[in-house]
Amino acid sequence: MTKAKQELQNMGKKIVADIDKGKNPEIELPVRALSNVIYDKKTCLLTMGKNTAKRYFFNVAHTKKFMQTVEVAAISKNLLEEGKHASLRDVFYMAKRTIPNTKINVVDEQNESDKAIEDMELITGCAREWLNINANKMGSVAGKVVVEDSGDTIDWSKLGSGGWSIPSNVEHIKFEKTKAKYIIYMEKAAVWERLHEDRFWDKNNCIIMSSQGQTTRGIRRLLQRMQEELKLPVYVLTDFDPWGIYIYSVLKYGSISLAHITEKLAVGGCKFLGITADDIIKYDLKRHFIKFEDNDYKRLAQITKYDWFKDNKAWQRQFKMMKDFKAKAEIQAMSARGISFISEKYLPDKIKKEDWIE
Amino acid sequence: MKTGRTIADELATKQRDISVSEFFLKNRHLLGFDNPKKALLTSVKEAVDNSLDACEEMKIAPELKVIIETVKDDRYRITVEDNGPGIIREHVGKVFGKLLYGSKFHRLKCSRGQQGIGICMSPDTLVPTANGNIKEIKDIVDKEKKEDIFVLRPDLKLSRQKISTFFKVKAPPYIVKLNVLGGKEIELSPENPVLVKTEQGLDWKRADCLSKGDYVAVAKTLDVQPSEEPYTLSVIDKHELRAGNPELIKDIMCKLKKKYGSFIKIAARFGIKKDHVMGFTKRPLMRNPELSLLVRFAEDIGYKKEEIYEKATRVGRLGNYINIPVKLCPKLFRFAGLIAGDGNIQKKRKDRRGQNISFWNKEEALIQDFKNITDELFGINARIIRDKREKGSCVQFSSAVAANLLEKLGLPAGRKCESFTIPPLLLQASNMHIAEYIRGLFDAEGSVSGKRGDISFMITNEKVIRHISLLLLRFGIHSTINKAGKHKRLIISGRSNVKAFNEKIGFISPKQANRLKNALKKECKSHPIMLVYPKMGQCILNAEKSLGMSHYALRCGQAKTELLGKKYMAYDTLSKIFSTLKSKAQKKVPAELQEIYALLNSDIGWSNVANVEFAEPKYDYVYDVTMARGNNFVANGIVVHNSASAMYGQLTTGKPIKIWSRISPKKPAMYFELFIDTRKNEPNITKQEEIEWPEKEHGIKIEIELEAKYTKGKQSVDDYLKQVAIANPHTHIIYITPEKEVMEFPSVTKQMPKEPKEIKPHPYGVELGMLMKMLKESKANTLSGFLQTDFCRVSPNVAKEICDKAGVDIKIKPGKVMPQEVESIYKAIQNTKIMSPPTDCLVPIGEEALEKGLKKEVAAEFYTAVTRPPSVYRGNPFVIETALAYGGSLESDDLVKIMRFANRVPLLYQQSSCSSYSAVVDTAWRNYGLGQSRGALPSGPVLVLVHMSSVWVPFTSEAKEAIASYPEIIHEMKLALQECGRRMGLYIRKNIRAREQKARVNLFESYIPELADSLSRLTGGKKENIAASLQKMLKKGMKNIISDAMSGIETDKKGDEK
Repeated sequence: MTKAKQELQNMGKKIVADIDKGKNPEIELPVRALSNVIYDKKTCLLTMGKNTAKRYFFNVAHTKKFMQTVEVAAISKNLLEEGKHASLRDVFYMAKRTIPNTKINVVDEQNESDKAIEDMELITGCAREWLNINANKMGSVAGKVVVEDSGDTIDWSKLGSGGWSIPSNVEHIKFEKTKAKYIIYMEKAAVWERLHEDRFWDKNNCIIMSSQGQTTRGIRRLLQRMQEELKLPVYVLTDFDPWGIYIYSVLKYGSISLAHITEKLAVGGCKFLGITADDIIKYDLKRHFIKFEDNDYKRLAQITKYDWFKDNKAWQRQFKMMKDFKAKAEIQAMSARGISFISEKYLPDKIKKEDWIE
Repeated sequence: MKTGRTIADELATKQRDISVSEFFLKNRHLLGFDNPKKALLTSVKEAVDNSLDACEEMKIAPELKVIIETVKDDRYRITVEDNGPGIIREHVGKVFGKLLYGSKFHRLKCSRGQQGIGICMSPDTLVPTANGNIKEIKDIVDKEKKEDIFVLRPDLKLSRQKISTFFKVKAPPYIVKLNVLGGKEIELSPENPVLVKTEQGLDWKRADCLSKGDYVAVAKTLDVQPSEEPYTLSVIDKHELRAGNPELIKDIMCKLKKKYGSFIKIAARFGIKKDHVMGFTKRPLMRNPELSLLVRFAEDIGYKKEEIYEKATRVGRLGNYINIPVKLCPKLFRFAGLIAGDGNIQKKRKDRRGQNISFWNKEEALIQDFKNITDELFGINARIIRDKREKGSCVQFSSAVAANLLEKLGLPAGRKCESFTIPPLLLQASNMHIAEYIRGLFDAEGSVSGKRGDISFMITNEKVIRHISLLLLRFGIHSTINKAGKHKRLIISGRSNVKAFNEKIGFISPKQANRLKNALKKECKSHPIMLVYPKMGQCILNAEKSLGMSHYALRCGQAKTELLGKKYMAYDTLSKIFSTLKSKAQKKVPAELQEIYALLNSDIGWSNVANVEFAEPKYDYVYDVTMARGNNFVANGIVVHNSASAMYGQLTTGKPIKIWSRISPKKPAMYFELFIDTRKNEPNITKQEEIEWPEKEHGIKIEIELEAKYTKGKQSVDDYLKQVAIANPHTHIIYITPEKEVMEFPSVTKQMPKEPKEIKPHPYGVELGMLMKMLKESKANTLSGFLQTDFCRVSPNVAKEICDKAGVDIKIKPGKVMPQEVESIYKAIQNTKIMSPPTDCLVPIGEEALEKGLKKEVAAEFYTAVTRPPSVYRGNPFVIETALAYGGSLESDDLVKIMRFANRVPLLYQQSSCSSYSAVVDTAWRNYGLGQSRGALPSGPVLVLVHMSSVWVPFTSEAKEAIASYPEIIHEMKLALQECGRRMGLYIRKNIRAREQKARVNLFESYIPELADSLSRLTGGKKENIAASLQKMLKKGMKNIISDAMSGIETDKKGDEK
């Protein structure tokens, strides 16, 4: 019996024990909020604090969530027993049904079952991938690497214009061969396509990887594994705005909502390559500024105050400059200097000069 | 050429595809097509109000009996009986004063019936009648002519209605002179409302409340029914007039001779000399017969008078014969028009009867035209005299008959400018005739300005110019009148007006016609009347957007931003915009603009008030008329309200009003029958006798029969009496419906409302007109004394301050204050700090009584009432009370119902324009647990009651149906409503808590099997066992579990601390 299955059964047994004792059945789980997330200065990672909350069945505010969590646990246990994988959406439909003689559904919308799955991760200490629940695939990769996935050997340099799409569960992937010297991870799929078309990875002997927007768990785990197992440095390329910087922050330090599994996801050694405020001045990108809006200011203020950025002078300098610009810029603004400017000039220069922020 | 009629018809058919009925439905009450239902209600209301006031004044707990019986289909008998003090003979008439005129205008006391109606206008007010005539109202009333006049219908079209009653009333101490841009003016009694367009919609506004810039309704077009062309001979003076058609005379004489045999016998038959008769046909005494005699002859042998009129086409006196047209043909009107413009009629010096008729003009074409007309009409070859020095010519001829004809058409000999009139003969003619007349007049005297693009006409005779202005309305031409010293100028400006003139009247004179053509090419000066509509510009822009056209394509000549704030627009600009929009929308009017379109196509337009002044009337009486349907009519071109008593007209059409009265058990009861002389506005007691009325110690019983309609539901008598019972919990009412259903509204409190004290008016609350009236009537010797004795809160010091500020002598006699001084006194009052009026004159119902009243008539779960402390608006003290009922029999899905009262009288109509409505809408009911969408009434099982008690309730209109929105009043109402709301909110929350507990248990019960199922799958334990254990827990620990659940959030926090 796997650890995951064991944990699920323990949770169920504890509830049944409560019921048998005539005690209001309860589930204890860590509080998922910024207040209960601790930044560990030694490991440079975000970890879950010790605050927990109890969820009771006989409580109007809790009862539905209680029921949903137990239901999802039962579904998950079933998946593990049968050795099958389900998507988040599948789980939603497996749980969704109407309680007899009422108009109440066990779950009404997918975010309810998603929340229940996250709760289960907290309770059992297992990432959902181990519970055989996968997210959608997202993100592409290309480079001089050969891997083995479920018995197939895949060469990341021979996959045409689309590249290899990264699965949500990367635990079983084995790295066979690699000639690459570093990895560039970028926020924008469009930029990845640009670099791929220019065969940047071939010319510079590296790996390029992207997802659209926030980094998925699969990519984070893959990056972490490549950093640790292949000893490759990871460079991050995002837009020059608070949201881009947060992508870097999540990658490096972990996120608040997934603080409980940070150790398995964080890419501690990654470096922020661009775009920096200095790049904007250097390459005269001010013309392509997008004006800040209210929520941009708010987000920037929040990020500036994060524990892990608070004492970082390099970052504080960037934040200050961004605040003074009152504007943000996209990576694609670089295309104004020529469509292949980014692959031929910008990136090689940055890496050569080791011009990054940590 | 299209006639006015066909264009109007086309417009009407085009308009049918617009659904405007809904829009007009809203305005129905304003235009006074108040249904018979309202007549019944108003009668009951007035009688009940009167009884309640009378009882309370004598400290008698009112016991009323209201009976409505069906007499015939739509005829009802109302009987209202009370136990009040009864009425003595001298006061019987006042029962009707109550219904019509006897307002307690100047008494500031919290009583139900206040602020009456006295609506009338000056004797010389011109009223256009349906046959085209224009009459002074004095003539109509004095002669009691039941003419058809123009009444504005609810669809904003002018229709013809017969006058049913006449009113002649002593002139009030002052009247209001209203001047409207475009030269219209009218003198009205201050209470007389006129129709105005406000941002909210249409409304009637008292003349003394109008101010500069208000938009009043003016007639835009009048659709008359002209009389037939009369025979020329029926019009002219026939004295000594002889017929000159030999064939006709021969024919008649032959037939006459055949009948009687000889001339001698004929002479004997008609009582004339033989020679006289013989002379008609035989020489040597050959003479034409007198026309009158010829008619007598002809009638004797079976001819009709008209046949002679038709054949006698040549007439004259003493050998001076001319041809005449058989009927008053259009050509004759043109002839008269030309003479009216540039002609001259003068008595011949030598000849007693001879008249010289001449026509001067500089234009050769007109001279020729005039000559041709005289030839055609009269067979006269007139002389043309050329005058080289004046560069003009003159056509001259002499004919007494033609002059006589002209006199009948308003053109007597002598100085034309003074004696020139537009007589009924002309007014009643068809549009074609009028067009010829006006064309003649304008050809000769009018001028076209190419620069301004307008047509104008100048004359000193004001009356004529007003008549012509009204005549032009028949062609849909709207003209303005300017006064320039002695001269008055009539101006036709605005593209549509000038175009209409061109199409329907035009010019013969090539010079004028040419100028008009040029003028039409230019951008004309804007139309003198406007269309007002809130958000007009916004609506146009929306329509433009929904049709997907660019703003440029609209070509309205106004920028988007400029258009956005527009509330009014000239007719021409608007018509142009509409035609562009319609062509784009395939001839359909865009939905956004349907209301505006309906207003545009109505028979009325909106004109700016230029000036309102108060003046002393220069006449003894003022006049008014009413119609069977409709409460307004067109006078001096303006839509004015009439005596608002179409209902009253109905009242008096039936039987007399019967009154039983007993003032004391010791005295016998009296019985009266009463009629109202509407012309004098006085009651007439037609019967009076002592009767037995043993069951009654004192009281009065009134019986009225009227045409009406009885209904149930909203705004019914039933509803009204129920509301009376709520607001007057000390009153006992028994009500028998026409269906013989007996309803009893018992009294629930013995406590009588305290008697209202009468107070003097506060200076802040007095209007300018009122101040004038008070000054005139004051008995004080000095102005200072007047201010101190006739007003409250004015000390000698304050009086001095007012006089000083106004710059008026403190010792002057009040009656001798000049009108300008009155105005400065009025202004001085507003600028002087004066103590608030006393508030002990107010009589609120009281929280306890109000709640009791509500409880007994409305079945609900929860009741509450709030009485606010007294407050003041414009110097008038007032108290607001509100009450609220929640739940029970009230529908929970409906909008909240509002009951409104003013001095304990229920207000049933015009809810949405009442300040109480705004106060309810503006209160945030969501805070108190009701649903409410923005700017709407809240929804929920709630009834809200709002009562305003004041010495002077500011009603929005004479109908006394809605309270005007003064900020102070709305503020007080809101405070009271909020308090009621808070109390209700507490109740609702308590209620909800109990309901929720029950729901909670149900929730757990339905979740248990689900949880048990999941758990058994997870752990392999038995589903049934788990479920049973959970059920047991729920049953056993219900209380614990629930209280636990309530503190669920706290347990969370404890967890945090771990």
